[in-house]
Amino acid sequence: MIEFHDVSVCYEPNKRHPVRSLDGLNLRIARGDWVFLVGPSGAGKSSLLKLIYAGASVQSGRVVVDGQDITQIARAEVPALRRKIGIVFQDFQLLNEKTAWENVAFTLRVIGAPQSLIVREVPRALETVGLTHRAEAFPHELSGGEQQRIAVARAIVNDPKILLADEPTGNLDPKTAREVGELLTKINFERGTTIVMATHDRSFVNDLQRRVVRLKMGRVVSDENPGSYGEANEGAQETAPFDLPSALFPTGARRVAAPRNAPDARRASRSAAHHSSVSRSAASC
Amino acid sequence: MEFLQFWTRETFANIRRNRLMSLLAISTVTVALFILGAFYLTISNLRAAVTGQAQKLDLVVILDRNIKPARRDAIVDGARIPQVAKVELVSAAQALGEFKKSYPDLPLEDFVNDNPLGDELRVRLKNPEDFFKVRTYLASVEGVSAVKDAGADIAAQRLLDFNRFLTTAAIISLIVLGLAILLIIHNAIRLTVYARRREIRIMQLVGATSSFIRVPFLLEGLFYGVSGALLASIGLGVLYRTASGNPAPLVKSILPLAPGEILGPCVVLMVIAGLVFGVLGAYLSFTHSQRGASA
Repeated sequence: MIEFHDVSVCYEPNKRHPVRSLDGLNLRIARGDWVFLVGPSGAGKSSLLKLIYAGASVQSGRVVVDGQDITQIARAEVPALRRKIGIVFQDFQLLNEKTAWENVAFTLRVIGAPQSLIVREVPRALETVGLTHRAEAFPHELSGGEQQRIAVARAIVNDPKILLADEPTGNLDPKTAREVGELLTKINFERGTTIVMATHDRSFVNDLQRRVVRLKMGRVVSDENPGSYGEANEGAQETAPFDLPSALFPTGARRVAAPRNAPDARRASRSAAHHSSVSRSAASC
Repeated sequence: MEFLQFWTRETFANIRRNRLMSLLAISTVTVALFILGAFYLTISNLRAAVTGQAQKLDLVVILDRNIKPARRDAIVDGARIPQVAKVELVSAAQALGEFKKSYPDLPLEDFVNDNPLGDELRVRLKNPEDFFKVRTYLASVEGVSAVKDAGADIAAQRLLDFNRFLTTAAIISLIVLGLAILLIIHNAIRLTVYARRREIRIMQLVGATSSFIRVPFLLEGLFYGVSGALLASIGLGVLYRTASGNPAPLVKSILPLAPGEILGPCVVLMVIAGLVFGVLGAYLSFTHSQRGASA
């Protein structure tokens, strides 16, 4: 579904102090997979997400999304790519002067969807996030958790193949964050949407027990899959996927059962498809 | 159709949201277009006055003294070329009569039986710019003794030069005022784009095409331009009708063009200018903002 082949990203390469964001990164994410991207600030998590929706360009390497090499993508083809992707941000990015319903419908309107589709899909998305009763509320009338659920509804309303989330629980309390986690689990399970989420929220990652890719200085330093630890970790450094106390998260020993309801086919494809490695050392841009 | 509804709704919602800024943009465009229209009216009236004066410069074609009537009639017919508005034949006797009237104190009785004047043609041109061309042509016709302009050539040259100056001034002022309008709308849309940057970002992220995102801003620029043009037209129309309705002869000579004759083209010019500069200003502003945002 998503492949990174030896990808390097450098911001402002012609400036005096260029910033290297990704450094020879290799990663594969299978269809229907759910991947957490973890690591310290500046590790390259957001850059990785941006590459998926063609919001940044690579210095070298190849990024393939749904079979399309997006490092070669023409500017005119970017909108079509983005229609396959839903994005959720930490700060929700809702339009304050529109109601929840209008915010969700906005995604469909701006891609020219017919009214009949809007009328059918918006209630469905609102129902998925459990906010049908708040459809007419404006963002300032909603709690943080509700706003983020509306943002999720907006991201999934056109049934994207991929859902990207950049720190979606960063502004939420633990209880609300858990609710958002449950919601995303439901979307991942029911719709088969591939989810890639950058997060700093340890408890969120621990609770959901999904594949965890740890980045550091633009490289994958570990790739842990609760369902198939051995294969997932192939080629990666032996490092805890998240900076957790060893008692809670022993290095190289994490093995957690896959979610009870996950279909076997999806589990199988997940364990077979992903592969990551640290391919080369950091270099200047 | 749904696109159009969406764009229209978004455009007007945005104008409503940014009421003060929209009002400011429309007022500034109105003032700029009012100046443009006023300049157009001034130039048009000046040109009309100059052309009117220049058209009064008759060429006097003196025929040979003993010319045969048939040849004289042939010359009269030959003088009716497309550039000529009117040909008047004045006989030698009529010419002497007029001369006597002009100079009653002169002893001209001796010339009654031996008229030294010949028959003459008074030729009025359609366009004063043809003055020199027609004079050369008439002078070359057989049977024509001389073509007099009684100093009209100098006056014609000056009027023509002035006319050309006015035309150049009109073009330059159109460009300068057009650029001013472009700048005003550019800035107004820039502020709108800034105010709506989150919305634009979301549209880009969910896969809206650039042209789709751009359309509401172009419509907004068009709205500012056309609204400004219509308001300026109303103001200018009322003012011109009031001024040209004044019966004073001076006003008639300053404003020779009737409101019905000049206000139509003036309104069309202002609406087209508002439309073109509005859309162009919005287009440049949006493109510029997006380039800045993606850099």
